[in-house]
Amino acid sequence: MAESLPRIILIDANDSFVHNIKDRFLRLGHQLEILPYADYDPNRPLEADALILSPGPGHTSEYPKWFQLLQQIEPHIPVLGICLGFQLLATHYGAKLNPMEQVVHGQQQKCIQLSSHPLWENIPQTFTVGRYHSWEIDPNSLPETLLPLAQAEDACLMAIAHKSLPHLGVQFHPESFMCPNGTQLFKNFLALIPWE
Amino acid sequence: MGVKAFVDQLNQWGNCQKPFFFLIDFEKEKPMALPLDQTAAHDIYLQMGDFQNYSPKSPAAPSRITQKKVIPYEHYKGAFNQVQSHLKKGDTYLLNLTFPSQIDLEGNLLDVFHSAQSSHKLYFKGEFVCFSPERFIQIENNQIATFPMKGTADADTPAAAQKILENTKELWEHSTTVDLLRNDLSIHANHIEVEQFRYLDTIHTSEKKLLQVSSKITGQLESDWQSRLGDLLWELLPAGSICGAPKTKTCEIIAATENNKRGYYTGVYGIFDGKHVYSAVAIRYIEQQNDLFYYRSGGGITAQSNCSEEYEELIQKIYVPAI
Repeated sequence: MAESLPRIILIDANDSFVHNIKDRFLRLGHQLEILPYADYDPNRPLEADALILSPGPGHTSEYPKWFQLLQQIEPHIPVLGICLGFQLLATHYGAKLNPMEQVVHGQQQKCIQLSSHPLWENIPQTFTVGRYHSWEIDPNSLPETLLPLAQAEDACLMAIAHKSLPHLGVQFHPESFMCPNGTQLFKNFLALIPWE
Repeated sequence: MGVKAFVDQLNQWGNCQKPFFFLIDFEKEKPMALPLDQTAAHDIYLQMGDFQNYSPKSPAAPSRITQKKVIPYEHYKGAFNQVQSHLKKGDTYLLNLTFPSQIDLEGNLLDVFHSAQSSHKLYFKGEFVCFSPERFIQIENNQIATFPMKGTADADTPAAAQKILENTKELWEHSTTVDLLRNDLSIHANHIEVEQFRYLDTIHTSEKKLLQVSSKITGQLESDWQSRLGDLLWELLPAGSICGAPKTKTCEIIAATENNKRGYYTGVYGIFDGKHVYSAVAIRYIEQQNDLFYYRSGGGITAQSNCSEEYEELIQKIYVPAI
């Protein structure tokens, strides 16, 4: 029954990959509600059981409402940031975002786990991912509250988790056809949503 | 035809299984549709796979392009550099940059239409002719498929096929397009699959042979898709392979950089035969303005693109596929 499923809202930064994310969740039996960034009103609380912050163009500073959202949400609500959403979470907690010398768009690369975490359940230690980004988190700028979870073959930070809250981010695109473990990763995220 | 009237008309014709022709411009400002049996009377000639609405004629001689006046390199480079600055900032991952070139033609647009060898071609009211090698979507038995084409090489250079398939810049550009088209199909379809990744087609032109790299992506539609055909087509556009990703921001940059509306160039055209949909992307396109002919062409720009190579690709794509 649809009523018995958690309500997952994806906030869409006008990206062109969000329906790929939706398709992966549908395969797991879950609907995503897509809320365009422009329609999100920080003055009205979001009633969601989990949130996904989408990939998208540009720099995190162009999305001030997302920082407001992260300050307002109940801390126990699971949040998954993807690409731009990952950068947003990391900078929200104090990490630094730098322009890349060589931008990486549409590339399939190896990703290596750095820490064990429920997000990596049934995913190999080294797995392939699809990357689309022009900015990267400075790994030396990670605050104490954030745990580095994975890095790419070029040592670029690929995933983080908050040490005490269910807030997770991945720089790569689990929804890409270049990431065969993407559906498993979303399944692992779903398992973090407290739901009966 | 207004946008809402167009979408409603297609939904209605789809619902009652009335065959029609459709043409939608890149900017989505002047879509048009006609019952399929009225196209020839409106000076529209069309080949779409097995369907054609005209009697083939062999012109005395195949139409040839005798002169090309391409955008000056310095001008192209200015636009290319603007796109590069957006790629660096992450505003776009891939952007298709195109420009018109004034050409001299032997014959007129109708001669070009009749001499072009292409499984999809369109002659439209003396305004333009298009002989597209790229299929857009096809819908058969509730399955939707799309065939994005990204990557062009001169087939006569040594090891051309191997070189283009091993070229990482081409691979990354193609992969971006595949993710984009998977996304677009997912708007209305489920169970999206990349069935074929980077297969090769050969195109014969009057001057040379070209290799084109494409992929095939499929998805499953609900069985009532025909009654939503207008909405379905509208939300797929502009076609991902001729704009880039992410679409909205990339199209803003295209408008600011090309500084010239594309019109029906890089739009889509196709037919609904009462059961199935067949369509093509309106590339390889010659338009007539007064007495002058313009050929529009271009290619995908990524952070790894080389300006002079992209400029050469824009020129290489100016051809008529006639032997």
